[in-house]
Amino acid sequence: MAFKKRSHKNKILLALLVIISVGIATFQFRESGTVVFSSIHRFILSISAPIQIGITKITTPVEDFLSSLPELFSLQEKNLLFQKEIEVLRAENARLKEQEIENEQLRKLLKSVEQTNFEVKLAYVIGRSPISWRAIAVIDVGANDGIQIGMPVISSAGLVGKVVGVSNKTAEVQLITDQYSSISARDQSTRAVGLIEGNINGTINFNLIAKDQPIAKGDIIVTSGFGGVFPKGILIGSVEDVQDKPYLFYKQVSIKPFVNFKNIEEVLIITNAPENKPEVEESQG
Amino acid sequence: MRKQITVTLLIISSFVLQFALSGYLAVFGIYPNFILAAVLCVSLIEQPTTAMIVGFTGGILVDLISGGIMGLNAFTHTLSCYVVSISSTDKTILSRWKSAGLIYVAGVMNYSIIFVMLFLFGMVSDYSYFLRIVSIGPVYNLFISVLILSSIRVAVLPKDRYGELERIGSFRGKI
Repeated sequence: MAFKKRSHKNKILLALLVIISVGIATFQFRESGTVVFSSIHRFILSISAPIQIGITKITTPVEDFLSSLPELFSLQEKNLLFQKEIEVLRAENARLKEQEIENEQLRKLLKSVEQTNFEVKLAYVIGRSPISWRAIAVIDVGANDGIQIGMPVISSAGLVGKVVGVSNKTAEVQLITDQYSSISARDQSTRAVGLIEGNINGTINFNLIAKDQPIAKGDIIVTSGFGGVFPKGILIGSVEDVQDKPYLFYKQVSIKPFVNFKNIEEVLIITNAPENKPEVEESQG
Repeated sequence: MRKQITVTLLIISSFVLQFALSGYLAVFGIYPNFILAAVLCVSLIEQPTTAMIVGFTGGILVDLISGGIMGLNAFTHTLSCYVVSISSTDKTILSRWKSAGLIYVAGVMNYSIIFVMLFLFGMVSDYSYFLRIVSIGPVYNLFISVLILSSIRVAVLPKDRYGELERIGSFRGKI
């Protein structure tokens, strides 16, 4: 009898906790809920920062040493490759400088108001998402350094993501590989516009590409500037695979990002991203 | 009182480990869930009421650090802890291998429910990743559980029950 009573009590408690869980999820979708939970999340972020900084200081030399071990044997070969690459890049750099001068003249001619010089803040990655299915990086700059939610984050290779959480000394960056990430982008050569969306497995796709829009393997994908978060023209990746299935409305395009998200250590936060004006871009495109 | 303090300290420790270390311990891109491992271990030796509350608290903490859908992990952790608790308490004292098996099954259940929910919310389209996380995640948590289970039993259980466990070879040496 006592066991039955207890079992009944357990079921009531189980039902109650399930209702609370669902209630919290529902509450989160409301604006007031978001403020409450984001404040707690921010608090956790701020208390975790010193621990994460300490662990990063300990693990970085070990990681560097371990990752350099397999490379010892192929260093000479790599060195030659890099020398050749430098020569190619030098030639390309000279060509780009010429183009830059030409572009500058055209801009003046068109009286473009577009701002191209970004103010950036250097940050180091001190932590990663504690959950497998999120692609979040924690960086060592925060509100005290002028970092705000929504600021774009880049690296020398291309677009990294955007700031989604800020505490006084740290910030959370949602990587473009995160499943919740969605960025307006375009094919640099064909001008096809679509959405770069992250997947749960850490890859990215170029979605909403209509069947009549041309896109090919190897094409470079850059930010389109639509949406007002990311300035246009930031490198994202190259087209890895294009599938055009007859039963789908859109092409399926997978992208290989330029940024190596597994080993990312330093990032730049654009603190003065211009407010994009799609109308102007369209007329220029 | 000792039990409550022990369980609270265990959850806090697993919480700190989760946000500080889990990112560095990925195996095939899958992180360990220290909090899940800890609450499942507690559920093995606790009554369903306590197990569910511990599971719910642990789940909320996972939700807070993950920044995803709040309440999702609270829901799955509560259910997993309930299942583990009703399968172990008042029926039989489980050996370590049986305990480990139960924790593994609960882990599979936990990740499966999460992915069913994410699928319903339209956030999962890659089933290979789903299979990877359901196959690796619970094994990872299982190893953590095996490592900490004995200590939790010693810390949480009263002496007479601890002796009973020792008698059937539930831990130390044999297991």
